[in-house]
Amino acid sequence: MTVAAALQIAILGLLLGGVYALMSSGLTLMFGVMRVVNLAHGAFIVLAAYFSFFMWDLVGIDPFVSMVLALPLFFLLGAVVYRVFFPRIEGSPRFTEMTVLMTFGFAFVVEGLMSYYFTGIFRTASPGYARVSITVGSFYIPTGQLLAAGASALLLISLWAFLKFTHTGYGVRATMQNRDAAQIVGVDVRRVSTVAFGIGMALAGGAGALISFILPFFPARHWQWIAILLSLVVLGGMGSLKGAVIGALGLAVASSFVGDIVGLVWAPITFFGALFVILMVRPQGLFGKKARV
Amino acid sequence: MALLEVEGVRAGYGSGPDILTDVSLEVDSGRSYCIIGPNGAGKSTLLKTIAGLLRPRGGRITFDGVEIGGRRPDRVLEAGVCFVPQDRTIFPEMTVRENLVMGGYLLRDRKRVEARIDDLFDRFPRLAERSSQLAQTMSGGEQQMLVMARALMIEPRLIMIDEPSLGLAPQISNQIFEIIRGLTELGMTVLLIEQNVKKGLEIADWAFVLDLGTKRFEGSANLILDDPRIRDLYLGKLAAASGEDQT
Repeated sequence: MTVAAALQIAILGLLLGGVYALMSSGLTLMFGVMRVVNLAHGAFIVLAAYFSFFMWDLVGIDPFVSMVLALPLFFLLGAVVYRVFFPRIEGSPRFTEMTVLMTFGFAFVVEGLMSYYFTGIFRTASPGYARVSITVGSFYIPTGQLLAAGASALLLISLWAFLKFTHTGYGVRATMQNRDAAQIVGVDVRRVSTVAFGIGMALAGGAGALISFILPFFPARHWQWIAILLSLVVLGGMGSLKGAVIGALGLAVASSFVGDIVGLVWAPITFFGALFVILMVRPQGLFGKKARV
Repeated sequence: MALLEVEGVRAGYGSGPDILTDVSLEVDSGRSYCIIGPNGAGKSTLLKTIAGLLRPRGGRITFDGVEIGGRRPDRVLEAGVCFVPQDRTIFPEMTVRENLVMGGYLLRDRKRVEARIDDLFDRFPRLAERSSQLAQTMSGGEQQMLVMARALMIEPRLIMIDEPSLGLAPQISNQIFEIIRGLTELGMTVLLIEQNVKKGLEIADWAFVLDLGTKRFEGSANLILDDPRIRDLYLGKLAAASGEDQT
């Protein structure tokens, strides 16, 4: 493989990785703040992709506009889902395990409804920029993926700024780092959790809108995505945003190489292979904290 | 009227048994108190219940005439009751300064938060030196100093401190005790749990003896230190218990 070919593969991997980073950031935020393992995250991403697809296909609204609409809509959806379903299992000593079962149920319900109403055929929104590409030097860059990666980066930077500079953001970070301490300094953790769940869901909404024109999707597609996303979240260290982003970029590039060298069907194995290795050598993940006993 | 009044409080965890069966005590403004009692007596549980981290199953807790029992922790804090738990609950990946900013979370006024941080940096020069260091990289004694400074951010009217010397070398614990003594000298109301009973009683004006979830005895701290009955009944047991703690 020439250096130029390798660079080309790396560029495509990075573009895809940007969207994976956005997809996994919501998942890791939910786990970090609330210890919720949201198996329905992928299903909600697919739901947002349908939203964006139909807005494009039926109304002619550009996916980037849909993305801006999906953010508040999915934020609200997340806040409502959190307030309706989670208080009844709060305080359970098996809270995290229960969230796995509950969100597993959500995933089936969302998938079932989508299959019923939207059928199982593959969909992709096809705005003009999704069908063209630009060439920089000898490199070929699909415009749609470049725009999607750019939007992902923008959303992730906004998330970072929110966490780093706002009052509520401080509360969210504090709750992620030490829930007890957060309560002690007066953070209303229930409110912060609702906001964080809403933001996690908004990130799923944004990611879904971007996915709608870069990857073909159908209702059951989310099982494949959630498997990849969970491996990214565990790899980065459960609840570590930095870890999820770095893991997503690194593994997307690695899987592009595996896809090119070994064969496309082997690309997903990169994520799970990396997961096995990390669990053997560093069980807490790249940026995770060792579990306290 | 007492600043804090606890009347017949019952509390426990989850669906478990009552840890506090019936606790009543009064805390006056401007004085310092030490709660002593064997392991499992319910000392920490009492402070957690007052702080709002645990909902009382019965009884009343009033602070400055207002009922605070069963209120959310942030509401209790707003009333002026601050809690420093025993496991040094810092924010590990925040800097020392950010930890203090979090201490002022309820103030919501940046200028006031900055002024409080400057004030506390004057009082704790060691923390000022480590201002931009991540809290998790500090020693146990410094972390204890940090959680106490963080509690002082909102200028509480009552500060409750649970086992501040736990796991610290004797020299370091002495520094921590000096800080607590400094608070009492400033006229702050302090409610302290201390495994090192002798030290705790030296700092405090008044002591409550807790055992099996209820208050067995109370009295002037000096008196308890010198009372042979109390010493035999509780301090002997305590000395043995605190010996276990340190191993």
